[in-house]
Amino acid sequence: MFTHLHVRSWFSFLAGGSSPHVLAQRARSLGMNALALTDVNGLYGVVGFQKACRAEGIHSIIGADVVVAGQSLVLLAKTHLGYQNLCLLLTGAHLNNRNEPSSDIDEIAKHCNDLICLTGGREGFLWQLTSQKKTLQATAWLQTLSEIFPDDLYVELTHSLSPGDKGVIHKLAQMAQINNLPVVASNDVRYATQEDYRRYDLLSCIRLGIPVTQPHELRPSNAEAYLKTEDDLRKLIPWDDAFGNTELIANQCHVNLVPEHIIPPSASIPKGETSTHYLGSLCRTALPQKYLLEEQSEAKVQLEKELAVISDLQLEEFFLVVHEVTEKARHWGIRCAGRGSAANSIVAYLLGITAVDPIRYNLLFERFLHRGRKGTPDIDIDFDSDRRNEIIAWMEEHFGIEQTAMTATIITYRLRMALREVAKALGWPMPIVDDLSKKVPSSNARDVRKHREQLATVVGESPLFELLLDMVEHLDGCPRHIGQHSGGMILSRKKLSHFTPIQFSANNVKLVQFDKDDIEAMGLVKLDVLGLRMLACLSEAVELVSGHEGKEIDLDRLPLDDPKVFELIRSGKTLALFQIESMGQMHLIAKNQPETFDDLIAEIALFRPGPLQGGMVHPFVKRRRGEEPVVYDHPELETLLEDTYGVILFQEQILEIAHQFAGMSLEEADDFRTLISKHRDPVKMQEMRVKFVDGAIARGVPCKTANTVFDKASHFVGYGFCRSHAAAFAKTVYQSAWMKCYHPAAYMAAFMQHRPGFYNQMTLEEESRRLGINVLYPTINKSGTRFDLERQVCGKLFIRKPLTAIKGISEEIAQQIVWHRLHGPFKSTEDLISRVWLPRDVLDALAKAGTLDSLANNSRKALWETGVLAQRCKPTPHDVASLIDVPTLSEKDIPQLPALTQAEQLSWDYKTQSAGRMHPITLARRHLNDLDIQPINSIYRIIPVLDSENSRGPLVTLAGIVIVRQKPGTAKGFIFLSIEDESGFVQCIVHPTLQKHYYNLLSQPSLIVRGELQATGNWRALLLKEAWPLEGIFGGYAGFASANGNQTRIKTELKPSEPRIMHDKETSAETPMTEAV
Amino acid sequence: MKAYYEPIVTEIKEAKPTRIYWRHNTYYVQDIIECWVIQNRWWSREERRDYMLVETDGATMEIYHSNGGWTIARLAD
Repeated sequence: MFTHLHVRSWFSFLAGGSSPHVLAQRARSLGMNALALTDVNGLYGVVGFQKACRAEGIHSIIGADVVVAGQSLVLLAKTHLGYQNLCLLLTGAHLNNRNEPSSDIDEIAKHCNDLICLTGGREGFLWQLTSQKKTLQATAWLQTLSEIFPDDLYVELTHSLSPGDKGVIHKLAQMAQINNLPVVASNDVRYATQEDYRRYDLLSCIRLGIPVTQPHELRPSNAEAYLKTEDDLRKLIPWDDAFGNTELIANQCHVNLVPEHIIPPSASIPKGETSTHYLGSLCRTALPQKYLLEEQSEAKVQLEKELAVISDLQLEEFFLVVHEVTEKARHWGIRCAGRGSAANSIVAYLLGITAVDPIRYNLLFERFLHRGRKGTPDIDIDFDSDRRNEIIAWMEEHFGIEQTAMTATIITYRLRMALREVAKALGWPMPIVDDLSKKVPSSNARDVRKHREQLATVVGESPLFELLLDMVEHLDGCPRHIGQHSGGMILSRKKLSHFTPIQFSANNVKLVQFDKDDIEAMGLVKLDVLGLRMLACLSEAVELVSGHEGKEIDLDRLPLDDPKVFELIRSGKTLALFQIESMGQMHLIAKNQPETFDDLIAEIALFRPGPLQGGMVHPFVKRRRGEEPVVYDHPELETLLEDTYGVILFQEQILEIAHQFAGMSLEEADDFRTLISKHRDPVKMQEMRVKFVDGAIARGVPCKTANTVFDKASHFVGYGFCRSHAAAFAKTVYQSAWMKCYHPAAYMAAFMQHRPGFYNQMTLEEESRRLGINVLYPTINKSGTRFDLERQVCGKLFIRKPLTAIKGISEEIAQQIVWHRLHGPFKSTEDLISRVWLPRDVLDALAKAGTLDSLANNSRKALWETGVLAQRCKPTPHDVASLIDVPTLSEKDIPQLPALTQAEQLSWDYKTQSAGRMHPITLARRHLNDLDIQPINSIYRIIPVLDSENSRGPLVTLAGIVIVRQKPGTAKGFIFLSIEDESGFVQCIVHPTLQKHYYNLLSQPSLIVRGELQATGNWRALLLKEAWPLEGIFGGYAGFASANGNQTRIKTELKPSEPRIMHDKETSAETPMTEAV
Repeated sequence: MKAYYEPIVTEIKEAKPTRIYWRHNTYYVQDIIECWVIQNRWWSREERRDYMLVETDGATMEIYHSNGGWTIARLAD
């Protein structure tokens, strides 16, 4: 039976038009029993292809379209050895040229074993020479190839109904006969069906950087390169043996990329020890150190149970390897913390991989690992982001440079990218392309028609616009290029060339050609080595405390029940804390009022799309506060859901309900959890419902109850945390809160250094000031390259900003200044310029930021001095002026200059540091007072007495700088704006019906807002009713009064008036309690 | 070859042209030298063209079938 042996998928990245899955389906539907995949210079799609072929019941042949000296050659792997050779060849091709990978014939000769070679289609060297009538050269090329592949070379005959094809294949067949070589029929397939041709041609245009109207020799002239039937091809290629040979080849190729077992990396095990015994002894030694005597018996039982499962799955070495990595990090003082489901394991806890006691926090091991688990378990470890590279370098050296590489991610077309590239290819000019992409959010390409109205405002309705939408939809899911996984490092027992080609990313990181799912399917093990800036922040804060306060802190040994820490959290002062600093979290904290570490775990888990969208937050909070009774749908659920008040909150609970309540095996229960968390395929959901309900009924549960429980479990949509992950994160939350509570100066300085949150520098400085810690501007003789602390005469520690906090001052320039300062402080601007070469714009920035105030008395004078000196003496980096070269400034050089006004200083501060020594609203306060606009902190003194009928709070008017703008997908179209003044910040909730009216206004940097005050404990928000631009107060432009007068008009403008936009009914619609994550 | 792009009438037997009527002359097809397809303007909804290079008793003609009709594209002198 005929087999297509030369087939590209869309994993040829812009040079193939269909997915491997669709190709396999098409081959099966044509009655074929085998299919090859030969993508250009890569094996990116082969794992998915092999899985798809297995699902379709056809044989998969693995190969690649390898570019050799610019021409295509098809290589098919007969065995795993052939596959390894293909990997080595492709690795070499990518090493030769990252942008246009290309191998050479010597390399092919070196790695030719167990490979079958087809001479290639229209892009093959043999075809090119033949079509150019260079018969002698074509024969020579054939002879070269036949020397390398004496028994495995086939002359490829392909006919794609293009002009000249018939003549070329007749010559090729003739040449094959003369040289005694076999022929093989192909269609040089680029897509599955003729319908996919448009996508293929569009991708070709994108790849070539040309519009669709521009002809190009590499563009197809028709839609004939699809997966044709044997009969169709036989009409074009009249040689029987060319078809018979495809079957011969297909029968020779057997490569299995998806084994049934895991191949763990090799661990360092002491001589004479087995991995099982060594792992057991490490855990048993650690157990008495981590558990009190009375806790040890329970811990021992759990440990032995886990060790048995790990042994059955042969994962001992995997755990030992992760242990080696975390031990090395700790040895080097690099902060690290295991997260994810690994924290469910007592083995991981005893080995120091994770920091949360799974027994104390009732964490379910089976969520992490069980005997039915397919693939490798996930262990994610966060490292201090500043030092993650040190660990990666060590892992490469320790486990072998050829046995480690980073996991790839396949970047597929999403809406914006698809819209940009299709619009460009269809010929729209770049400004229009930019406008189009600004009209859509980050979303799937298939959702493009949801944004039709907005897009039509840019280009208007037309047939071309329709085509644009159509083609954008067609690119959904299509791979665009390869990227780098955030931290998935593969640790392999064998050289990685056994499994994958290796290539380098743009920033020189070694990558495999597969994503994490393929890696898992191949049995390889990856460890997620993630960089977490919060860990860097905590490390640096501890170092600052040690250096400036003389106290040594071990964050990992802090008791987790400090009342002051929980008091800080409950007060809502959580800005700059890990995971709980958003306004939505502040609101939830105000309602939930966490008192214990367990409450903190729930707090983290509640604020996730799963519980938020599943409507689980309100019942949880109300039940916890005793405002509604805790009820269970069935008595059996009480033990499973007791600690979350009958609400499903954690992934583990889904697993337990499926296992214990519905009687599923752990493997089935895990499938159920995965299905409802991620895929939610309706057909599979129905099948799962039947299994779940039948299982529950068999255990004596009434049918109706079983269905109700299934519905509730399946409402756990989207992403929810597992309890262990929430617990691991809660620990970091607690540590960050503890540092902010007891060492706020060190903590805020470290936080500004690493910026692990999402608030801007201005807000962080304001928060520091609210904590009583001044943030000192950078100064030339004190500031370095990092945020630091300075002890003041009053004994307090203040934060000193580094030179690098100034825009335009790079790390290198700051280092240069610090190096020269080691010889002694700078005495004057002349002294600075004579010792350090600094470009004029850097000098200006230093002067305007106030950095040179200590040398020149004030910023304006400093700017004048550096300007004069820079003009008179223009040294270059290689020609630093000496003191003699730099002319001394005389008094007459500097005129009488006025000191900076507050407004000027603020302006310069913002231009140079994006933050000021005072909050900008301070300058507007007098005007705001005149308009009865209160400082934001005044609303915290108002406790609204809510009218029981309509629950409306009092109207308040505030003003501030917008610090956060969000429109989360989980919030039913509401926008959340946070504004800040010199006294604090508050969230404004904007109803969807107001947004159209205020569309432009809401993008203003500063606003006056009026709204109904909403209050929960310490949390306040405004349900927006009206808004004005703040500049209106100062501007004097049309429609707004000037600051020079007409204040009555402003007052009139801002006086409460008839609701302009919304009726009361509309505004009292339920507002979402929280924003999304 | 000289370009004409004029409509022609073609007699078909067993999916192959046998006689071509063009400019009041009849040409008998003796051989179909080659067939190819041009269909590369999907964005402008242009129809597929099935080309044939045919040897007739009077000349070598490049003809194509598109949108239900036949056209002579070029003629060898």
